[in-house]
Amino acid sequence: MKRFPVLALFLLLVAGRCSAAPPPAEPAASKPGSVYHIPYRLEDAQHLLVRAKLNGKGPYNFIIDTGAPALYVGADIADKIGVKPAPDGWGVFDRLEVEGGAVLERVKARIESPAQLKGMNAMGLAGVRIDGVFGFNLLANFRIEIDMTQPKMTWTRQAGLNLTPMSASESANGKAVPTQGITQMESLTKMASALFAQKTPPPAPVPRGFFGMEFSSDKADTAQVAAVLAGSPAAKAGVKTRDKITALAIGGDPAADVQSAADLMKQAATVAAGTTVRFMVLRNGKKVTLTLIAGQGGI
Amino acid sequence: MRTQPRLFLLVLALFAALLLSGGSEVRAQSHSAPLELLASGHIAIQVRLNGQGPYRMILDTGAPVTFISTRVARALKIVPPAGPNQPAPTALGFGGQTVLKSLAVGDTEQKDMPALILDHPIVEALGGVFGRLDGIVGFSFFSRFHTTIDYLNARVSFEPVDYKPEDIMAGMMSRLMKGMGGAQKARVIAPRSLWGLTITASAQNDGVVVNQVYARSAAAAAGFRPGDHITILDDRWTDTVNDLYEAASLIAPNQPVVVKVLRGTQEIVLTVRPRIGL
Repeated sequence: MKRFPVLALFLLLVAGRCSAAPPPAEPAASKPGSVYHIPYRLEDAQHLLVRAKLNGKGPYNFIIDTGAPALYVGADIADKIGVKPAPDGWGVFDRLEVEGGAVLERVKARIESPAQLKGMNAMGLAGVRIDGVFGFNLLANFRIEIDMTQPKMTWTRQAGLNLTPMSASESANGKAVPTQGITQMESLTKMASALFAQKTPPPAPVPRGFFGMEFSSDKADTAQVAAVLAGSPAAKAGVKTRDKITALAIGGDPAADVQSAADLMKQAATVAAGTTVRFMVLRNGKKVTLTLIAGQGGI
Repeated sequence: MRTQPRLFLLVLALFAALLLSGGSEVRAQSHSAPLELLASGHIAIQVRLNGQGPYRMILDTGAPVTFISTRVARALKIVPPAGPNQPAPTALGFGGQTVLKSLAVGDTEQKDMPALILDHPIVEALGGVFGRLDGIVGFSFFSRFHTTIDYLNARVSFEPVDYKPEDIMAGMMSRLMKGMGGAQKARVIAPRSLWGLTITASAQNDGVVVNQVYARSAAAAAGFRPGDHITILDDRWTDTVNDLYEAASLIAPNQPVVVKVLRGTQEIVLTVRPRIGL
């Protein structure tokens, strides 16, 4: 029993499913041969996450899962979009657009949240809410290239494959399918979800504050200002071209040395808008301290 | 629940025992192998483990880890490392973690592959119908390659790239700890380069609008104007202010980036080369 929680966590992470009724093949808006560059991110539990809009609503987060037989969309999401599942659990989305431009029409989906997804969301394992899963009947419309050294996947539209998966029990022709383990897995999953349920969801991320100063190089061993944008927070603070920034103090923190422009950007990466930042600069050999309030909404 | 803290510690200890030692050395050129599409839509591939096999495993992009069945673990004479907290295999044949000397698909081989020993119920269920299946090949393997899944031509290929998957345990533990702890600090999304414009959510809250374009900035050079409605930045949707910052956090300085904006009813494509700065 002791090992059950750990085991359950692993099971949760594998989003694979084996039960699904057959959806009919669906026509597609993307033309065969079309190539799409699909942005993705790796969430905390190391699943590949893409965003998609369903019937123009969203975007929602989906896991790329060749271990799932079909597209799964959470019941709450389908309800929000106004798609009702048929009694057999399948629903149809008129238009599914994947971030990066791939579009499929009349896509069949299982309207349900697999136990693993519910668990992952309850525990906040992914660090982001997951709304569903892209499985076989969606993925097999494409040749899919995944390269973690690239910020996007490459999907090439293909056509001609029969996209009707069968559940294990359907293709068993009366043979008994071992389901005892699956029942066990689902109860383990529920147990872990209850045990590790997230008390408070993480707060929404906030944009970094804006300064308005340029550097000619991030490799040089000094952070010398190459340009100050007129009217920017840096300009208002009195930062001048050719100032060498030697240290900065964020909020009430003690000052920290700045080695280079890259170092400055790294140190300032967590400065939220509205934060007061003090800069120690060398100007014509003199030490000057400048106080800047990080701006809102600038990039 | 009074026992919970102790149980949680135990779980963390077990996590620590399961820490995946990083795999290393790739000894392969680019390579393609056949895939077998099961009627359920799952992908089975032929895999050699420690030079033995082939074994038939599911290629699962939704699995962060790689699993082998207890049957295979026995055939390969893998014994999980002994330790004081190492009870006998438990539910689903869970036998802890091992490091395979080698996992090979076609001509592509990965040395020192971490794997879990587990009779995964879904693999067992599929195996009961489609014939013996021996485990799951997950992210811990395929992420080390430029992986191509070609459903139509029933091929899969793995070309080595310079990527080493992170230890999944670390991420999960910190997530669990954070989730169970008190208030968390909001993550800050930092643009990687300086564009020279400010944005706000549109009045109708249907996107992001340019407020101000700074003179002589990268944004000014690219032709941005106040009022432009930014819809797509480098293929990424910018429906919200945070979306735009997330997209900008991935754009290195001095790299040309395509941005789509709506100006009035006209869709305009701008190319911007953001600069080093903040």
